[in-house]
Amino acid sequence: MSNLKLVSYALALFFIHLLFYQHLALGEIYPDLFLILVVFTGLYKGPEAGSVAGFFCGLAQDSFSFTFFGLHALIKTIIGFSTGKIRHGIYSNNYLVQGVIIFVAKLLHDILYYGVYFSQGSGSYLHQITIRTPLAAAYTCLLGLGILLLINFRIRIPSR
Amino acid sequence: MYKFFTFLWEHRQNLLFLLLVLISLSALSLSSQRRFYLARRVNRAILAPFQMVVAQVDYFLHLKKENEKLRKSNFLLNLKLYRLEEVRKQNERLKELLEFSRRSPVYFIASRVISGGLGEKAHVFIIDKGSQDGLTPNLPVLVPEGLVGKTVEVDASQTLVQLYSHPEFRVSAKPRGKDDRAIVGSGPNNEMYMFNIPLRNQLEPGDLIVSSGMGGIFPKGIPVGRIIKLEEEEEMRIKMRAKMEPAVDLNKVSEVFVLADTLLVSPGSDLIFEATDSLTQLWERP
Repeated sequence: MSNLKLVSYALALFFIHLLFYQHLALGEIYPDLFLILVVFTGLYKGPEAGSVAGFFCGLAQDSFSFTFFGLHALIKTIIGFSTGKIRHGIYSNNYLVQGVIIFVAKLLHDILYYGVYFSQGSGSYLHQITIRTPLAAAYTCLLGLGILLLINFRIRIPSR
Repeated sequence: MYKFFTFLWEHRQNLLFLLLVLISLSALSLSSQRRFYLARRVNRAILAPFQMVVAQVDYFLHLKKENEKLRKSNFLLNLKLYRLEEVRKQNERLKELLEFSRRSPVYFIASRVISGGLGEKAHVFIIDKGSQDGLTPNLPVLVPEGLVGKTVEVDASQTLVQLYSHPEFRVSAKPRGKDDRAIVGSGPNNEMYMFNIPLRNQLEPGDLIVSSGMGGIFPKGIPVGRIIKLEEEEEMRIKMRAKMEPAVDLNKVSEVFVLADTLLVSPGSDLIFEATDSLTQLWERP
């Protein structure tokens, strides 16, 4: 897949997120389309592109938060970089593995994000992490796989 | 020097990653005022071009549906208007009889939400009206169902609205018809709570909570939410708090009304209506 194609898919995902974010919610469970974008970029293009994609996607999300400005950028940079780093170490040319990577990435993302989010108050971090996060991770994972199938695109990890 | 650049090139992946992490951490450690400023700048730089396109697409997607809805509602409103006109005339006559003093009008400016945040815990909206339409910071933002938030930063054509779900949002409120005044804001799990309620109170689940008019921003009588359950404050057990169901579902808000300062509204602005009675009377129907 060419860089141009990847950038156009990324832009399309960005627009979908902006346009339909509220409509994609299942009750209180929201998918994280930006995370899908970051994971795909990390897997396909490596740690450099993954961390840059993570940083800018995170920054876009952070621009709506006064209290935790920089937190999404930090976590998504880490996820983009880590995904790029591990892509040669696992059998990631497989839909199932890619789905698992999105699921785990969303879990880690929320554990870190809500760890900081709820640290300032007496909020129910446990409720968020044990109930809502796994559901959101599963939903994000299914949506990620759906997008891959829709555009009939399997991430082929280039050899070292 | 050559070795230095070779080293940089060889470790560019890790160095770039470290740089981005450091930038993120620095942003997190800024003071709240600087974070706010930076968030707004980033929002404009990265998202503004996308938001303009998205707002236009969204507008056209909903135009037809909205048009049909408006036709129906226009017809019904016209019918009501004939009736209300009669009532108004009668009311005017009665007011004159009772020598009511006419109060300053209040203006509601209709605005479209052009961006509703990008995260699960979105705390702000951006609306398509700004200082050129008469908006200033700290104005109440409402929908017919009740309170949405307040304006916090105003540009010429756009305004940032702090929603009731924001961790720093607070409004003085009380149950309708009762005197137990307390503070409503975002609590655990980002849910709406009424805090600092004395142990001896008259509150009950189902009570409608409205703004109390204290605090200088929100007028009296705007519905804020309903009490779901009362519980003891976790830290200090001498006070209670009440979990609330907000009057307004933020996910369904696409248009809002800003209660504008009468002196700043120019005659050409999109005025939805002016109310000569107090706001309390608009909501607190008998």
